[in-house]
Amino acid sequence: MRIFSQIIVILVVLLAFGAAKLRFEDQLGRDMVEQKLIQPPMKEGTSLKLGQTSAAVALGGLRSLVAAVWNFRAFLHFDELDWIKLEESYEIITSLQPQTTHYWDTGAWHLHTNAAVYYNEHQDLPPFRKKSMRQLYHKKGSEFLEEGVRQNPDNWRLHIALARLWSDRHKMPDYPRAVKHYQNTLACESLPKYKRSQLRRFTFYNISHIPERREEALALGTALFYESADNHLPNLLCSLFALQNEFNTPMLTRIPDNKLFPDKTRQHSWLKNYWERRLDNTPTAGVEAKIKTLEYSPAF
Amino acid sequence: MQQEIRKETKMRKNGIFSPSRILVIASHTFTQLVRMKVFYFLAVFAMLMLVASYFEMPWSRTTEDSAEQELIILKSTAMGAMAMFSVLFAIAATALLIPKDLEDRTLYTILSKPVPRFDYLLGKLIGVLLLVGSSLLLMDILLSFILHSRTDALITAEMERGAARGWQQEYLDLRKEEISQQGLTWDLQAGIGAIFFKAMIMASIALLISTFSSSTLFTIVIAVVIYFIGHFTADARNYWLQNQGAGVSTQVKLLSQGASLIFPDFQLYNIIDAAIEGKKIAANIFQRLALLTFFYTGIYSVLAWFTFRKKEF
Repeated sequence: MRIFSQIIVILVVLLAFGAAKLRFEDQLGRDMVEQKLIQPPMKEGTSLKLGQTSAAVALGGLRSLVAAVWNFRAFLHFDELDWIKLEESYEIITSLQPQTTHYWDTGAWHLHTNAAVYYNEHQDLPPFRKKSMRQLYHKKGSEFLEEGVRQNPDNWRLHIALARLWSDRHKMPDYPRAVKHYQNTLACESLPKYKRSQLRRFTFYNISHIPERREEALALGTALFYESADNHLPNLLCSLFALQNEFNTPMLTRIPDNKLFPDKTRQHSWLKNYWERRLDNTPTAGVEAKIKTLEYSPAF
Repeated sequence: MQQEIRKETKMRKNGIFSPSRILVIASHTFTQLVRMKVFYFLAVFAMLMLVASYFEMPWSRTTEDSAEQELIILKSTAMGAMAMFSVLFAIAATALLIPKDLEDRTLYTILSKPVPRFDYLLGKLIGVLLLVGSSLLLMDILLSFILHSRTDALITAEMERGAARGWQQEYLDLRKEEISQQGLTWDLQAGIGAIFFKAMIMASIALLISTFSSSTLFTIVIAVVIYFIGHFTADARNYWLQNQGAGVSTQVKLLSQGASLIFPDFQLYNIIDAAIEGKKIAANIFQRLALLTFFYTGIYSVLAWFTFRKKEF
């Protein structure tokens, strides 16, 4: 009987103490969430997918450890080319550690690159199936990164991963989409300063691949040229040369060739490389002609 | 004669709280636990650290932050082991203490002397915490040493890579800063502090349970259950505070209220994850967490004394 009365006293004291600490704990919890020190609750169903042992460890406050273990497991699925299990693993991992960029980035990379290439090169699949599977996994990779961005809106690394994915000429480039993601990256407060001019250059390259936005590209390219000598890179200079030709920029406002290129030899080699590596929608106005002129010029 | 009377009066006036007496009991408990060969765990931990420190990312992809990820994996392995050891040890050791003293008859010897029961309990608790603390300290030293050397090696490799690629000095400095933030920092020490705080609360809970439980196993099981419930307390509190009256049944409401009031909120101690990820932990947050821990430990210790004070053996 005595033990029951003691337990009742204990419960009453704990309730009174609990009421006293409730607001303090609530405020501390809010401050921690605001400072991103504690993880948001796990998504519904994650515990079930984790299995009993991992779920217990994760619920016991060791989510980073469980995520690291599942990351190794995901690598084994990659090794076995089991893309379905790999995708499931990264969903679990990112649910456990939604603020870790690396997991979003690597999970997406496995999907949009490794899985997509695997299906594209699969010998037993008919061509239409190869194409559809490649597109499917490319889309899955992109969606995975977009989910990462939704959960970490100011994470510039995830925005840039999306931008790189949609501007990759070896995948399925969508330049307007890539430009949008580059602009989102530039809007991130967390973006380090040194990355800014490089990202603006990438934005320029991608805009120049969109025929209806080439005027905008010319303006951006010109601004970048005058901004810093660090921007005077062969690709930017050649694009600017072609864009000026495309819009017949008047001599007064045009950047002359002798300012654009350091000398005739480099002008020739840079333009030649640019011409050889061109894509369907690369601005090329006057490039071929200029290469020929340079080749036939006596001073060359 | 007068001197003898004074001596007797002094003994009778034995206060409830004597630091020196508590320290004697604590050091005895510490020795008692050391003799149980718990430090062998450190050898396992050292092995784990060595393996983790030689680990390289298994994928061939070279991302910008792969150096940081290697350090994160090293930290998460080490701190996961530290957290698991400290909580399990705090529960098991505390649950064992009173039954072991009873079995060895040490308890009768101590309590037949003018030793207040509160001092006995506090001494036992401090003894366990001393052991958990010193084990964590040793593991921390080992982790710090390995982490420091690994961070240095990764920074050197990254700087060499950067120099070969002609990176700007500004970028090199930033990469150095980014990798260093995943190395040995005060934020990491704050995370280890949170591990100790968690163990402190669990030890005091186990102490409270062991004062009225008749079996060690019961104490351990109940303490482990409370540990897991503690990770849902935040959800229960949010459910109560944020969803008041929003179609919630009275039973569910009472249950969530009870859980959030009675059990400690262990989610708050998950700044361990933030420390692993190299995030900055504000001093103010750590201080508030420490205050909450002492508050919890204090209240559970007082309640343990309440049930233990008139217990007959």
